[in-house]
Amino acid sequence: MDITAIYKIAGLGIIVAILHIFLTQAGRQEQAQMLSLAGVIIVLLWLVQMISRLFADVEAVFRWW
Amino acid sequence: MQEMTRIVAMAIVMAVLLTYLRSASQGALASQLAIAFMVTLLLVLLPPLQQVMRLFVDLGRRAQIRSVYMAVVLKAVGTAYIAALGAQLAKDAKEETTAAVVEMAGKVLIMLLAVPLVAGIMEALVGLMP
Repeated sequence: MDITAIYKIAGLGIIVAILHIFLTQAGRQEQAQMLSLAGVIIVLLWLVQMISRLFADVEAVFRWW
Repeated sequence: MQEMTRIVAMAIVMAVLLTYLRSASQGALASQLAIAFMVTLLLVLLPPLQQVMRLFVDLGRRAQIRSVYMAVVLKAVGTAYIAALGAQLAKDAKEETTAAVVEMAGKVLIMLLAVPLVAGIMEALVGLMP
């Protein structure tokens, strides 16, 4: 069971959330928004690879052999 | 049994992390984390599913069902699996419209898969008629 990817995403999420709070408190709303967006995009890049692997595996399982 | 314990433990950790991320107004990241969790779990569950599928294919072969029909059933199950996954993920991100569209696409594609079967039934019926 490969769960490192999940904990990577969770860790990035927590870091982004904390930095978001800091930046909001410092009155830098726009940078906080940018930070959130950057986090979402980075995680999306990881996710696309995971999902493509899942779909390839599902197709392999349900193929007529 | 051991697998199940690990899965439940991971689910509890995920629930706590997701609650934290949602409360810290990082809804998009929370959704992405949920997707990652789901994808990982499905990757874990695929090998057992493959064993079950192999059993069904073997049964079909022994019952001498035509391989075309077995292939249709397998493809329908696979399509339903992926459609349910996508629809559930979209629902989780509170995107009801996307979920409905994904479910609709799954239904249409499964119906498309069933077309040869319906044609076969019709042919058999026509053959039965005097």
